[in-house]
Amino acid sequence: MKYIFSFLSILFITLFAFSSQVSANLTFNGGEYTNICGSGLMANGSTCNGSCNPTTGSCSAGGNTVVRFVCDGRQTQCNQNESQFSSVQYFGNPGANKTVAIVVFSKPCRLSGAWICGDSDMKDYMVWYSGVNQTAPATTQPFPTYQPTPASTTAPYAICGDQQPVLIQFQKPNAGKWVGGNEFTSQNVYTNNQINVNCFSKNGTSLLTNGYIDVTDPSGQTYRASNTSELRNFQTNKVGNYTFTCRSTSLNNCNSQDAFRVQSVPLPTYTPTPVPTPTPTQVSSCNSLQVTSGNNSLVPATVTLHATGSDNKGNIQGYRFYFGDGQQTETTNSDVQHQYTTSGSFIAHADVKDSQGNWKTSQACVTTVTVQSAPIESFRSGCSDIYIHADNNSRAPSKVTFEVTGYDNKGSLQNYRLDFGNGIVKDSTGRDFEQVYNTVGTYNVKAYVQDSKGNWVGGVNNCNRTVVIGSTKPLTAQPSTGTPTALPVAGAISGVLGLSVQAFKKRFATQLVS
Amino acid sequence: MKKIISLAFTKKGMTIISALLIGFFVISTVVTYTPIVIVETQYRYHEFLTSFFHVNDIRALIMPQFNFDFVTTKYPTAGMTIPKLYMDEPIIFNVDPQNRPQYMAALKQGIAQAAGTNLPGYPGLGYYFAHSSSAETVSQYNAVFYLLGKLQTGDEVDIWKDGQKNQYVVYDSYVTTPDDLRFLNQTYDHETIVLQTCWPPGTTLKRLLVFAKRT
Repeated sequence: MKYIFSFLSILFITLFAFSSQVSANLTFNGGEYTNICGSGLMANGSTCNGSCNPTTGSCSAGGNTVVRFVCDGRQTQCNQNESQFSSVQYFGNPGANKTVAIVVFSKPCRLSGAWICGDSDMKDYMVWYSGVNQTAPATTQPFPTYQPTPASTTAPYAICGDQQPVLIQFQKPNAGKWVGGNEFTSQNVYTNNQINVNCFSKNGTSLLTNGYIDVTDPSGQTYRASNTSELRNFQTNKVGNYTFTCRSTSLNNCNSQDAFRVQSVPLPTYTPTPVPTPTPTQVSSCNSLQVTSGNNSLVPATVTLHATGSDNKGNIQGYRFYFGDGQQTETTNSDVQHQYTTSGSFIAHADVKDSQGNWKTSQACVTTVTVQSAPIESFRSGCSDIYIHADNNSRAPSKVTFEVTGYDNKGSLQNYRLDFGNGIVKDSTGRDFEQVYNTVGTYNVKAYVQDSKGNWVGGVNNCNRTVVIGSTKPLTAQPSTGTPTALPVAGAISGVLGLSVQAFKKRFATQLVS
Repeated sequence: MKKIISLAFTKKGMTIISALLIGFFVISTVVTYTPIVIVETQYRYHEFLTSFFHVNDIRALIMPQFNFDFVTTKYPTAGMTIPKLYMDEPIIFNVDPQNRPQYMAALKQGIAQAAGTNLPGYPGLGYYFAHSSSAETVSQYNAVFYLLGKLQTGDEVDIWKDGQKNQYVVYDSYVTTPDDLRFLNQTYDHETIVLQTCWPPGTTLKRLLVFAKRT
């Protein structure tokens, strides 16, 4: 185990005296300490850095150098870690073949927690090599007591005198009152608060002459907070005790120290945000269609139909009735009367308009109306309606279902025919059809019924409908639908030019050839 | 060439040049603004009849008035009526808005419904566009949407399809740049339509968008 102790007292000897010392090796505690890099301004950080070879005196970058930077100013101007002069300086256990560097700068180098000194600020520099045969026990060794002596050129400090008493106090911005550390703590200082500090003198009647303020933060780091007796908007970033010390650069024994505690910002009281009740998905439907009166009456029969619907988000706004004889009506009343002028069986449908404005229908809203034949009634037949329902929001490909209704007062309809408008025509004994449209387009659909006499009727009115199949192609542009701007602009320019030519002609009429 | 230039600097040559330039100005002005003037005049005429005589048709002044309100349309299969603007125009569905020849052909006939957007009766956005002005004065449907700027919140817009009237109410409108597609990328829970035209009329500089919700 080997220990290296550096002689801090040599830091403040004159350059001349210092140079004379380094001319020979130092022997201490069984070890031999060799100044291998010289000292003074010739031995700066650039020429002697890193571990050094004691034989050749050369140094290379990196290595096991133990560096001790020492501030040359008054102790109060230096960071605590660099300025504690002690009769014993302990460098830990670097072992043999290690180097201790001591740097003396010409000014305080630790302002606001950062090093501000470089080679140009260096006043003195020494590197001591610990030797190769260190056998000293691991004990700290006393060094000659050193009391720093002010440089001969420095004027002696004045005495605080009439500045007393000096008092450091704190204030929250805009709070008005200056208070001591304990009272300031009771005012609840939180992290990221801003505070003001004043170094008062003469019992608070003025500020300390040539004052400055140092602060030791909760992590133990001490740094200059202000070069005057005032510190404004200092931000308390850490939780813990902040100790502020104010001193004067020109007066001895003029100082004051006080501390306060910074708390963490209290967490806001949690107020649970009310979770909105999820809006229920709208459900609406047409629930029933009934013949309430007039069913099985003789022609002409007045029949009353009643439709019901439901909507979980509002009221049913309207009803649309298809009577099955080719007639239809739209109303806000759930009951409707209709006169059938032809006997037979009619398939009536109803749609309801929900609160969102959408028309809904269902198989529950289909009913049959029967009208009895009169003794004398001419033959009548016809196609009543096509009911169309497309899936996929009517976008290609879309499966479309059709229901064709018709009537025949002298018998039953024999067949149904549907022209899908895409070149396909189907016949069926049933009234339901199905067709898949794969291509975008508007299709004209026509329905026909074959009556009991074998005649095909239909293809007009409600049996002639269009089916629009939309595209699923995403839309990526707004089309241009106006007159190209260039046209009116070019026209305006042309007009101006035309008038200019006219003016030119008039102005130079005498000089122009006619 | 020399001869032409020297001719241009004669009195006669200058007269011809200035006549040609001013002539082009007149033609471009007529071509651009005639459809606008026609539509605006028709609108003012209807507005005058409505506000002063409380009729929708001049015939009502000398004959018993029938109901000329827009309870019906000339285009029940595919049409749009806007009562406030006295507008009743056909709609051409499934027009590709990225195919200029196709949509210009459709706009000669009336209002185009953009393929890829929703049809009436289905939730989502239906996108309709038409001319606010056009250089094609021969077409009777030019400047169909020139009057869109007069629509306000609460005004009614009806789309007719397969004989059914789908009623919408205007709830928003704004002018934006042609490349602003934000409204196309939104989700519309309610059945919504947007009417789009170029703005200001007589240019293609910006776009006017009018939004209406199904009642």
